[in-house]
Amino acid sequence: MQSLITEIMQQVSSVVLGKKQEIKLSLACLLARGHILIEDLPGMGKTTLAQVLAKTLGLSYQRTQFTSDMLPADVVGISIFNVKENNFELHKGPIFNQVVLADEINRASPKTQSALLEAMEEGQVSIDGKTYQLPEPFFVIATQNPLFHAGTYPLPESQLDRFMMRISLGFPNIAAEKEILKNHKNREKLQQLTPCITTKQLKEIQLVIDDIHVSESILEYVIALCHITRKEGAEMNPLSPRAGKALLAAARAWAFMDNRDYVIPEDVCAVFPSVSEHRLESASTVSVSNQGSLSAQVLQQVDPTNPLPSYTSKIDIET
Amino acid sequence: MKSDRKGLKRLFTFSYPRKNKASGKKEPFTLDRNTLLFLLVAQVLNFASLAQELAWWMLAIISLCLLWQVSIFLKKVIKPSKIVVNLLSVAGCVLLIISARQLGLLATMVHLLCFAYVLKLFEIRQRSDFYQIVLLSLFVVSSSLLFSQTLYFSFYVAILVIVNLMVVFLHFAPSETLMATGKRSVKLVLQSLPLAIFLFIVFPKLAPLWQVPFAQSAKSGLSDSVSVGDIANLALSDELAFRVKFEGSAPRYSQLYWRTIVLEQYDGRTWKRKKPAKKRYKENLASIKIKAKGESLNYQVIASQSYQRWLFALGVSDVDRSAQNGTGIIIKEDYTLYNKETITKTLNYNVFSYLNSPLSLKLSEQHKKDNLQFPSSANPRLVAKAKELNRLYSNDIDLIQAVLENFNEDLYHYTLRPPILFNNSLDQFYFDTKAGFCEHYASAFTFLMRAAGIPARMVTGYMGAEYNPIADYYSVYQRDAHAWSEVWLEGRGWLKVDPTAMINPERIERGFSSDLLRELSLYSDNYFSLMRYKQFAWINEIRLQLQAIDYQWTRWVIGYSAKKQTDLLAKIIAVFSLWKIVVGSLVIFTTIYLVLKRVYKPKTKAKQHEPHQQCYLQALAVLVKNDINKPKEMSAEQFALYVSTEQPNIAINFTRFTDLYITLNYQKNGSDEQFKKFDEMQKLFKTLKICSLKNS
Repeated sequence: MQSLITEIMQQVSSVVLGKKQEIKLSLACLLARGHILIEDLPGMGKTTLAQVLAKTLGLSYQRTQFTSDMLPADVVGISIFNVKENNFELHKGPIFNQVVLADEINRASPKTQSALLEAMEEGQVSIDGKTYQLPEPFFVIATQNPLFHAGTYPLPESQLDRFMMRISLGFPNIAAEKEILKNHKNREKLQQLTPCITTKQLKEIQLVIDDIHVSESILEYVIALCHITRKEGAEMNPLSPRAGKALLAAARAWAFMDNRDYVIPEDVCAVFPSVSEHRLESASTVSVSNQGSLSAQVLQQVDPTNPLPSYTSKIDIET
Repeated sequence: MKSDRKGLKRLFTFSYPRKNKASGKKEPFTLDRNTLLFLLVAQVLNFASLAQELAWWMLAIISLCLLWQVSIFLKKVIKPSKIVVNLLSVAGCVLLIISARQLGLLATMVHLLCFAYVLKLFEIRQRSDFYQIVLLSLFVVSSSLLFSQTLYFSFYVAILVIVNLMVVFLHFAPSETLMATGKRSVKLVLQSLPLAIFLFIVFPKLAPLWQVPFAQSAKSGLSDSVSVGDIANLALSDELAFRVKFEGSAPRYSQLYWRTIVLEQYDGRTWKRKKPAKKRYKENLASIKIKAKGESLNYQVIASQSYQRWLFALGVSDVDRSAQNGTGIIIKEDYTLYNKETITKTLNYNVFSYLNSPLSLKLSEQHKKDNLQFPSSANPRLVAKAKELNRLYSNDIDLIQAVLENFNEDLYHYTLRPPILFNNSLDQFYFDTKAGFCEHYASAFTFLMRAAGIPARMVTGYMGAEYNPIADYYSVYQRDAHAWSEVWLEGRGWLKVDPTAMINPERIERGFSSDLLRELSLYSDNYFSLMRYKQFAWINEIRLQLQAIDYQWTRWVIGYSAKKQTDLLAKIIAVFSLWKIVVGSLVIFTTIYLVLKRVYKPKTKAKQHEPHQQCYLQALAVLVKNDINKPKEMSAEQFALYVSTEQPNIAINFTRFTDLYITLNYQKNGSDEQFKKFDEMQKLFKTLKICSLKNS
């Protein structure tokens, strides 16, 4: 199975150049059944990354460009009266795909954004009081422009919390940029990409990841990290248990990609900035997504070998 | 480690034997071999504590059973079937019933207990059987305290209790070292100590429901009859007879004649106590009133258990009736003290002695006759000698003086190994062998006096005492047993005369001389006695120290009687009123509870590190001592890398150590693997410590 992962990694990084770490992170997120938010300036290859991921994983995907005049129905679909058959017929929206590419998600109005909410958490949508199951696996890959750009509606915290990870790509290094500039047939290459993996294999991988061993110490480490953010005086949003779960799931996937069947603190550290940063930022702090500021602070305060020195096991569990 | 902790938890939570789901049968309960071995050892020790009290045939059965158990343990023999064990128990019970009359109730019960205890080992089939046998062990050990309560023996019993508890710990935590198990057990016993002390002070002292049996005659240096010449050498025992604590200054050593038994009847060979006429028997039991006046010498006597009834006092003595135990003591006509009951446990009593008071100024005709009586055929040579003396001296005092001087001037000598004498033993001794110990001299003297017409009698008791400066008391041993005479003179009453003093004055002034001591130690029946080494000052010092402790133990612990208890409680209630005590004890207990809660709460609250985590954190602490600090956010793996660049000399060990830690901490491990890895980790930790010590 690990060979599949390397294959995927190779294929993605052959198109998205010089961004190995980010690719690995986003792949880990998808393997951990998480949704991913890619935030960066326009033209950094966000959409390309999303497209390549979807194609390489061999999933049905549809790209939706979010605009300010978009309505929820444009995302989830709409029931239209069919005169011939004399009944309502559902016209499924772009969300009924395995991979939903929500491009520039923060350009849509909050109403439309939150239409994604139920879909992302529950894996189902309700249209006209009827619930529809979304296909399996179901990923949302959203991209967004930095918040200070004109015509953006910031995603509310509740919406942000649904994304397992937020990553940003950043400018490529010189060598990679040279490659990008040379490579004018990139779009054709993108079209020719073939899936490296079947849906069945993907599901199997996800099951394997679920079984990766997480020891007590790791649990304590994760809890300790969350506790730091919940302390009084910490200038950040506290991390919710959902955030902790997301962190653990991502760490599992990371461990799997590192060819291990158990999680070590390094896995947690590796995914922690991407998993936590967008949750930690409070609405007041406008971030230019320079990763590591808040999450790095948190990481520095926890000793992985003795995460909870004054932790009171009995009381915490029993009461 | 982990399973150990679980095991211990199981011990305290008590679970029922689990049923095997697959078969629906109970899991067969087996004891660990180590535990079984230890249980056997404990059993042997337990029986040793009672060995003296058990009949020989019971000891034989027990040793046979134990040998059987050992062979089962060594897998030489298979376990006996239920029927065999049942037959054995029935046979044993029959034997017990037959001998019950001879043994007495208590001894029979103890025998039964021991018998059940040894047989129980054959039928350990469930955990409850194991619990039963451990409880039985504790019961057997405690029952041995019925027979002896000395300090050393109590100490031995305490150790046995610890050993027996170790069996339980060994069973539930088999992988712990013997040392750790022992520590745990000692801790448990120590924890129970405050409660034990509390109960000791407060719990009502009930009179025993059983009659403690008389020991097969006392191991005393004293007996109630004296026959000269029977004993070829005197076995001198270092056993304690009694202790004395004087109020104020003690009298001179030469005055310490502890009168115990008065022997007035002589049949030509043996001196015996006067048999009370049957009619007068009851009268005899009545205590006489002491009318003596003047300055009295007050002291407390703590008599060891002697399984006899006689007690000890100096001269004319009265017993303090107001004190505890005083009421049970009667004073006989001859001014000796007797306890109404056999002395089966240490007995305290206070005495007022009037050393200058005469004994029986008046003597009835009958009594006088009794004390002049001797068989006409006995010791003709002495009778002739007496007649001659009568002719020579008209004054009784001169006569006595002459006889005593004769002992001094002639070739008499004091020895603990006199020759055996036959018919007319006193004649033989007085005229031929001229060697003997106190009994010989006292008998010969008394006989001579009677033959010369002076009322005389034998007195046996103890002479002298050893002072213990550490606890300020005197001890009198069985080897201090002595015999002397009393003669009755008109107007002076009974006078103490000690002919031995003429032969061996040193004995009377200071106790045994060093020469005699050497001789004594040769015939002493106790080769391990520290007394043998009295010559060495420091050993003597240790001996006195130990005795002082033993004295305090006897005085305060064993002597803590029901009367003392009520007195103490009454005193407490008198000082503080009852409600104050109630409130006070409430306050005390609440404080203790709160303190304990404070002390123990953090412990239960604090997170329990897994052993490997503990070990790793300790290793980090060691490194900190060597100025290698782990940055807080650094993980173990990164730190190992960091250490290997900073301290290459410990890199190999520490990297391996970290690897083990990571596997133990983050990976799924089987328990076997876990043990192995943790062992290795601990070993590495030790080498790491040594390395770092070298560095610093």
